[in-house]
Amino acid sequence: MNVLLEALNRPAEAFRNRRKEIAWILVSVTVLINSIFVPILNQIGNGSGTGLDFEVMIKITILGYVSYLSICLLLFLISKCFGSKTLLKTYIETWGISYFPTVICAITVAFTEKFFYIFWNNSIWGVILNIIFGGILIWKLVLYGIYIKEVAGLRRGRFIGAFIIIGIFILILAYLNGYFGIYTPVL
Amino acid sequence: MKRKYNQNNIKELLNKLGEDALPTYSQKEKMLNHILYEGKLYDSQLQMTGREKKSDSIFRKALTFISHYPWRFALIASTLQTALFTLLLGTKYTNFILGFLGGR
Repeated sequence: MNVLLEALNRPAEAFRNRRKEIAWILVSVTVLINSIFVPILNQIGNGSGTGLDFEVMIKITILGYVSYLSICLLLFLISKCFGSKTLLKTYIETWGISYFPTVICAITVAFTEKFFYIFWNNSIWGVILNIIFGGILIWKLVLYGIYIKEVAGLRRGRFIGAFIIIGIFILILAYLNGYFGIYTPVL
Repeated sequence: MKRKYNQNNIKELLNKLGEDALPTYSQKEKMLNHILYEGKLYDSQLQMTGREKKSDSIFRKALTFISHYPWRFALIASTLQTALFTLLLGTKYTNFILGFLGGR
């Protein structure tokens, strides 16, 4: 529990202490929400009776982990170009610690997708969801910055350069995630 | 003879208890990491002088506020942007964000 709170409240220390168990738990939760929770939620109240497509569920699970490994490889390669000496294994073991906002995003997106008609044009729900989505984005951006500084070990100009270039590639990966049917990008 | 044997047993037991109370290797490593982190913070504060110290400390305070409990900063910033843009644009803005990030 302390380890979980450390990852939540003091991510810089969690990155430094390489809490790989937390990283894999958070990544797996994000992937399973995408591959299992979303289809089950979509089935609730669905009168078509098509049932769950297990092939798609397995495909999304595998793609989720592939997406995680891709972002780690991307972080490794671009940080290396900017002079980082961190090993690929370290990125794989630690990037998942930044997945708290991703998990919350996956759950929120699952509900907004299913109950879109309730939230659309509703000012109260609109404001609440806006705060959640904005908060998730800002939180992830902060974690991303802390990560490049602490794990990749980049400072000043190198930090800014890596931050922008990795950011561009993250947007491309996010688009690819959506293209392959992953609701919340596992990035 | 028996008394001496008992004394030795008690000594051994006390030694074992002492050994068990010692921190493990991973605990020692964590303690060291924490001390190094605190030391680094303290060292960087010591290096600051004069005018630089004043401006740097505000900047550093802001960074520490963001890096410790980043969700707290994210929530405050997000609430402010939502309040501001919703007041200016109304449900058009909330619908835009919902349509863009909410899965549709």
